[in-house]
Amino acid sequence: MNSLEYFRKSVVITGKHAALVDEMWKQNDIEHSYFKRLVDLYTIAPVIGLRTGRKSPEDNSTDNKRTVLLDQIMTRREDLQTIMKIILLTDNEDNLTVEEKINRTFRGPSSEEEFNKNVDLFESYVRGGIEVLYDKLINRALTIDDPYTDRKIGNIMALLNDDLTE
Amino acid sequence: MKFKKLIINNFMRLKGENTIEFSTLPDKNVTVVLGDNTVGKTTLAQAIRWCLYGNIISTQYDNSKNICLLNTDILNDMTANDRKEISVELDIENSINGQDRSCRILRRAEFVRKFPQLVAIQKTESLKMYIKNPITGSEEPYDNIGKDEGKVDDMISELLPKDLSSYFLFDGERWSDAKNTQNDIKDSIYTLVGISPIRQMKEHLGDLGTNGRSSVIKRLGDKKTGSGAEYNTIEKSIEDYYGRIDAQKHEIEEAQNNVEYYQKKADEIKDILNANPNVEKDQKECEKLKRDIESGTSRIEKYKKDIITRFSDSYVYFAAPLLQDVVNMLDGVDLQGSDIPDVTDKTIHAILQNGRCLCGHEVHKDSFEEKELLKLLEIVPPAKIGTVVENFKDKLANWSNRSANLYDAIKEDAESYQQESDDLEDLKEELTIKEKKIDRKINFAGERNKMNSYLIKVREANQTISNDKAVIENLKHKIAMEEEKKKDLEAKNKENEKLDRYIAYAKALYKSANEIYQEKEQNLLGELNQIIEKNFREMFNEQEKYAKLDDDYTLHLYYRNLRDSKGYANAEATGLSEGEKIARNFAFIVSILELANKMKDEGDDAQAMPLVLDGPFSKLSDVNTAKVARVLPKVANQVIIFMLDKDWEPSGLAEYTDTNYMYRLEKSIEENSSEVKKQKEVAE
Amino acid sequence: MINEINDDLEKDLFINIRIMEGENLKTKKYSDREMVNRIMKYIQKMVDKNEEED
Repeated sequence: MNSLEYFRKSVVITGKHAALVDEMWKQNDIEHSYFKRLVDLYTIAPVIGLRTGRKSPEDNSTDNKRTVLLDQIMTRREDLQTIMKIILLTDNEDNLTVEEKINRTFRGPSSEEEFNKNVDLFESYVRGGIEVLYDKLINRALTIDDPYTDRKIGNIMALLNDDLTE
Repeated sequence: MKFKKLIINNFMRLKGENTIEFSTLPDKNVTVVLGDNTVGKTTLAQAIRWCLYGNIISTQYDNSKNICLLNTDILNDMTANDRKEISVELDIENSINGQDRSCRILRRAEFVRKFPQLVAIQKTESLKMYIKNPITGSEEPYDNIGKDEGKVDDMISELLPKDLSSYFLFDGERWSDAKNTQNDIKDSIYTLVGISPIRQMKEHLGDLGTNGRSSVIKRLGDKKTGSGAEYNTIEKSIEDYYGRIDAQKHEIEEAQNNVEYYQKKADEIKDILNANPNVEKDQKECEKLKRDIESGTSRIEKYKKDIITRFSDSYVYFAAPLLQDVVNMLDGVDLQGSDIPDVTDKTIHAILQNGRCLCGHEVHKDSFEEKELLKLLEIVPPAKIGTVVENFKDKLANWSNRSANLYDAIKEDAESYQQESDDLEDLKEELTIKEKKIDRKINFAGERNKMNSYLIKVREANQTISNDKAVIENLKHKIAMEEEKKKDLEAKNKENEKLDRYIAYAKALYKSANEIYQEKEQNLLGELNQIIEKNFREMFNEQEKYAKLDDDYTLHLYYRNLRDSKGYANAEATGLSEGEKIARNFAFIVSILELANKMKDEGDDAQAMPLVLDGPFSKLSDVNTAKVARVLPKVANQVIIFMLDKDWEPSGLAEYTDTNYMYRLEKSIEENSSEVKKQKEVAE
Repeated sequence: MINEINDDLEKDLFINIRIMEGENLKTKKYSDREMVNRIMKYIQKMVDKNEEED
């Protein structure tokens, strides 16, 4: 059943989302990054996506690619699984009853099909989250009300204070 | 291969040493031993069998337990402590690849008497083989015991396989309908005519196991690993990494040049500024401000880094508002599932297994009832899900705690940053004022601006250099990793290439073996049947019936064209007389020998063996005896035959027998034992 | 070169494997699995040797 365990493989972010990621994270360059590691962005994005109800389909219009390496994923695996569970319990796309949601969350995928479906759901929230993060961290300009003069710090604080409604 | 000599000592009916030399002549290839009934002709055949395989055929005796290998006259004379030996030696003429490899097989056994009863007890048995060395001409001995355990047995097996003894030792253990299974017959025919090695070869190369998965070809294939495409991908990325390193190096070189150039320019201006003593005090203050600015800058950089580090863990914070809802949701469901008191998963399993519910309702596979029960199974205890959910809730509680601290910590850092940053602005402002003051004094403002811009450029270039160096280190590490992978693959690919060679050969061999086997197998039955039909006709002058080996390798007699018009054509003949059974079996054995000899001539692996017959004609009419006997010397390599006097004339074997190889078995007058004598000497 | 086969070597292999099989049929010394191993090793040895000589 190894193949049906979540977060056992490296992840590739493609197209438009890879380009957005590049704006927010640069390898070995914390000076110009909003996140220490790419996996940090990958862990925060689905939560942001879920908070804002933003899902986004995979984009392959360009050849851009960013790979979240497996050894990084392994350091976050337990928390990623928790986020997966929260998503499976919270997402309403399939109009499931509470019992059905609990089953799909805690009994694990019963088929490869269900496994892939759940992974897709997670990834679509990741992509939605990347879009939101880009909007809030890169696109946003500081306003008079921002108490911080540094744009990065200002935007991070603004995001932390944002109620992130849908 | 031919038998040369048989030396029998105290064995069964033969007292003392008896020797029979067999004819190895190419034309007169028959050796005959004549004797009345009950003189012990069968002993001769038994002696050969015992010598080769260490056992005798017991089916002919009423009470096989009482068979005694030791001659009874000898036993009679023994007292309590006597030991007596029996032995049989068989000399065989044989050549392998044109070299003389003649050999002697000698089996001995020692007996004591269970005095005063007339019972012999065997104490020891030994088997030796002596093979002629084709170069020195001397004999080399081989043992069957000690470190050579079973060695002589193996060598005999190679020479005259026991499985095939039914075909050359026609001694009572006759080829019969009941005894041998069809597969045994088929196998031994294959061996006799030399197909078996090819069949085994084909089997081992490509057919062994389900779909040949235990065969040589498959096993070699299983050893292969990896692929060439993977290798190419790795090579390409290594090339790419090297390209990127070159680009970085180029960038570093350029930056290095810039550093040197701008530093030199800045130094020149600084020298001019410092050379002016009027501004010494102001200059010192400026230097201090610069140092303060520098340390302030590094402090705010640290705050910034801390913020990023903390923010990188912020998923717990962002998830926090969702957690309460999730916990509420989970709390709203009864996960311990105590809906039905005292019902556990065992109850449900029992119902599913019985196919009947507690209420008597039947539960069929894939039915609505079954589905409901399966659903229930997920709810009733011990439903492990309860624990899993509890653990999950604990984890969420832990997240809630972490998230509260996280926000406060980031906010504190942000505020510190802002504070320091504001202070830094003030310092910078102060510095600017001071510098302007100095500049006003000596009016070097333009020079100072220039110098500052040079220094900025130096800093930028240095930054570029250290970035590039980090990138190069990173790329080098990646290359090392890819090279490692490449080495692995290279080793594998080299191995694979070799394996492909082996497989190519194994496949070619399998193809040849398969073709030869198919061809031989297809021809074999037809060819064999042609010979059987011919022999059966020749031996029994039979017009009405014919013998035929069916596809399942059983031999049947059929009526030929019996009342064709009424559909009796080729009906099988059943209820055969004893004579007919013998006739049929004769035809079969003779035919197999004939085919084997024919194939041997064609250079196959077929066996050429002597034919030993013990009283074969006793149940045949004189006419049939003549017909059968006439065929034997032609199809067999060598014929050794033990028979009754009365059959000698009708057999017509005199034509194929040299008088030197005619023997007579005679009973001593006052004893129970018999003796072998040359016919010539008896007659004189 | 992978798929090209030396006819002489193939013939040699064929004859010798057939002899091996013939001997084993008489002595029944080796099981099928052992024979597969022996044949595999034999092919390996002979092909390697042959290619070394080339």
